[in-house]
Amino acid sequence: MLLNRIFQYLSYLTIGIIFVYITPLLFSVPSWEIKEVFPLVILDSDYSDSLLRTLSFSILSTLGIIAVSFFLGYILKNIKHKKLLLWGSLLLLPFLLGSVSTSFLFKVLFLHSNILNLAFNNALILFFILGVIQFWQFGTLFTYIFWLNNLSIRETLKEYTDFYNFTSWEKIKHIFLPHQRNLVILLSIFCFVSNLYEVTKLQIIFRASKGTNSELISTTLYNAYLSNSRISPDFAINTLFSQVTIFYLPLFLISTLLLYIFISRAISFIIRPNTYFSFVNIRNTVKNRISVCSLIFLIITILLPILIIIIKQGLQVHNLSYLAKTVYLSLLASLILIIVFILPLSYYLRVKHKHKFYEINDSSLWIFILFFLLFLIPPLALMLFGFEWNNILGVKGAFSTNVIWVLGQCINSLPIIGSFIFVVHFIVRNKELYYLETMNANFLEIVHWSFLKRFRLEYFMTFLFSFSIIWNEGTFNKIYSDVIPSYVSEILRTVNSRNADYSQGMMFFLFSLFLGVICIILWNIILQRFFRPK
Amino acid sequence: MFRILNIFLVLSISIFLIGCNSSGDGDGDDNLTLTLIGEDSATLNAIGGLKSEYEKETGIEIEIVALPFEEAMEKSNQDLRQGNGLYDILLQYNFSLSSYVRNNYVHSLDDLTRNIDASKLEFENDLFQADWEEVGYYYKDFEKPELGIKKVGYPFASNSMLLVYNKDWFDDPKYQKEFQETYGKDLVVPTTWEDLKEIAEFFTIPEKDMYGITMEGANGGWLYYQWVNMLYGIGGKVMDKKRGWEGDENTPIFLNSPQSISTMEMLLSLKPFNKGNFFDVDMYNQKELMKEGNVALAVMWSDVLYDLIDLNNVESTKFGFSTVPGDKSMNAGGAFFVNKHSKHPNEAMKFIAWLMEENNQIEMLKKGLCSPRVSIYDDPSVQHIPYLKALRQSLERGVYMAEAGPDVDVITENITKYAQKVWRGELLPEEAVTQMYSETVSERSKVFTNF
Repeated sequence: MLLNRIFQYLSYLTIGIIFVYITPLLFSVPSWEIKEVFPLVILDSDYSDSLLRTLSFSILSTLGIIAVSFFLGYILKNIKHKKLLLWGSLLLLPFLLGSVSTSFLFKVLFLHSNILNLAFNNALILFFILGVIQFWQFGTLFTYIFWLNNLSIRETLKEYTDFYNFTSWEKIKHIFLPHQRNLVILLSIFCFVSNLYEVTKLQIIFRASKGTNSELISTTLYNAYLSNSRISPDFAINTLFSQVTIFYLPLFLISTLLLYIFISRAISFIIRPNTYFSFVNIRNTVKNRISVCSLIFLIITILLPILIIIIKQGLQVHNLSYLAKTVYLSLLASLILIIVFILPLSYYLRVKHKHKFYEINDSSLWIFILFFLLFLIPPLALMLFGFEWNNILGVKGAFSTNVIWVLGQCINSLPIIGSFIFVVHFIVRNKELYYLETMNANFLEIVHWSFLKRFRLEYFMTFLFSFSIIWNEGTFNKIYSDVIPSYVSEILRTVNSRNADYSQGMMFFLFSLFLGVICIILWNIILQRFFRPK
Repeated sequence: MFRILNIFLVLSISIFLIGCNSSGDGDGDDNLTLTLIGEDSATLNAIGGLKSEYEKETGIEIEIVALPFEEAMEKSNQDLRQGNGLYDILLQYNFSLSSYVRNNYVHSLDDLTRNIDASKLEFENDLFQADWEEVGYYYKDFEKPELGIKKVGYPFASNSMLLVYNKDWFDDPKYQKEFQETYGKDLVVPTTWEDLKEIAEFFTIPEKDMYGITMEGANGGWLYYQWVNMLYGIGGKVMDKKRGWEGDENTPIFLNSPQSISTMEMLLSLKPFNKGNFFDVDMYNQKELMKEGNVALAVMWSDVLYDLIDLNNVESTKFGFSTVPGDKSMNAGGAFFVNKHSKHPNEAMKFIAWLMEENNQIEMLKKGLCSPRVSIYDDPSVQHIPYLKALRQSLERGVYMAEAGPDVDVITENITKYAQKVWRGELLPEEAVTQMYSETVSERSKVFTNF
């Protein structure tokens, strides 16, 4: 009973925190620069162009990345050998590197190359290259997740489809796509929002500008904010907050909902009995070869750029031990995020509201929307909320800064990590939960048997994701970078300041790479232990 | 049980809030600390190199927060508007002046120097006056500009842009002869943009991987500063005023002048001779391209030059330095601003005055600072630095070129946008200038309406 209550309170706390965090939007209601919103956003061609560009890039690139990842995940499903699985975990590396390191990598890789020259002279090429880089960072992760999720499908089911000579299309339609449905929707939304507010890669690699028709909305908003700061920082904040609240947040919320509707309808359409696409049927031995070749190709695609820049770019050795505190706090924040915020909320929703919260559907969508509300706010506005809260709480001194930093990181990572855990928990069938209830299992026992025992691997993977997101995060890390050194600020300093020095940047990149590799090694150790027969 | 849970929650929240508000929970050190914030640059590096000396002398701890430009500005702005006084001294550029003074965020020098011994302020007479006025002066009363101007901050650096040339190539008799034969004149450092174009053309032999020029074409100000250097060198101007921060909605703008068109044409005409991708070339990339040794010319920022050459081995340098083509150079740099909410404004002022002392300026100049003090350039110990002569000449003939009023971003962004469009071949120079002008006029009026 007590535990029930604790879980219930922690759930309320988590949901409350999201609302509380965005209240600076409401504080600024009286000073909203309403007159600045619609004329600027709709009539100004710079705004409308970049908005249109942003939406079209986000949608196309999301659909492309998800489709390719799903397809690759399907191809890789034939790989079950432990050693290949171990190599396959390298697909996690680009995501673990984070956006700033990825930007640095491709900046150095493309420096003075003809690829960039082509991109600067044709915005379509530029956004295509950006889409490929997005795939490199996110698509490889999605492929890995789809692959692992495909492996979790019961062997008997797969054998059944083989026995009855299902075509590839029939397998996708009847087995793999329904199995991946929730993941496809979640990853699509995640990818869409990441594309929506993509700024680091555009700024660092492509130096996005109006002159090259390459600005996305986050850059336009940031430039407008900077420009308004020349009048006064208050004016700049009020204008931004009012634009976000009245225009961008509703627009992007609607876009996300439309994307959800489109993808869920598309999946429903595909899995309808009378939908058929012809696929070439390939023999199993060939299939296995294609799987292995695809994996090798993906691994080469990941490692080659890294190797090239290691060879190409000089290195300046520095002592980076001062970043140890940030690593430690990132680990702590990840732990707190998962244990205190996400797991209790997710258990509570999945067990207590199982009739609604068993898949991503119209009823459960609102929880996801609430979570993604934070994610849909431009990072610049989120950073300014951070400054507002910092001021309201009067944070001073090392201890309180650390506490607020950890809390802020938890809030910031909540949407992605929380949604991922929700979707993982959807794997548990309602039948199972009802059965345990009829067997008089209490809440703790249900959590223990249906979740904790089953999802240890997934929790660990989520922990690694969470660490990577926090380590590479550029909002709270910037607010408190005076007290808690920020990896993002440090590497940006070496690329984007008057004192830029890529050989110093390389040192930070290698440090991040090192952390990524450590995460992958840990992941493999856990994976091996999990599969070790007892 | 329910009550216990509630008590536990209330206690947790209380402890959390107390923790947040407690101030002395850091390292327990009672030393006075001055915090400086600014863009990570040669200047901050140079100050960082000296700070331990000051700390030893006074017992005051100096903390330097060096960040990428946007982050430094963001943090400074938030601290100023919230009045927290986290940063005592802000190192910012002239485009922050207007916002800082109009919003009453920073002390004026009249306030700050009241308690400072006059002998400590003698350096004032030794500053590049025009540059100081550009980066550290503002209207006494911005609503009544006729009341005159006041000093707001001392310059931390006096920067300009210089013409850097490949000395090895210019000194090579083979090239001198060929140039004489081709153009009928001597191969000398160009003093006009037309001459520069000829030399760039002469040295461009792509099959030998030789290029005439490398230009900064990136967004974020880099292209803008190149462009205005060209504009003023050709005889044009953006506005008719003495300082970048002057002007209002009624100040006429000359972006549609024939000189503006010539500037766009000149920029475009240099495209075939340019090394690099232009659109992503900033100060750092330009320096790296020059270091490769196969480019004849570049217009470069003075504060990157210490990194272009090896100051310990200047004889080996292959670069020469001169003022930019034309009869004017750019006044740029930034100033020390003392936060109105600083708890130690007097100590902050004393530290600034200490940094301005001759010995310290010499030391910092050796570490890459472009000193705002004139006499420093005469010191025998720095005569080996090859770019100092050109820098001094540039600062002595320096004028306003860079905008610094509230409309700075409108002008910067529009110039960059249309210069890039011309470079891409999207617009002809005339079309670009017409659109640039009308867009700038309309956007400026919005800025001043919001003001």
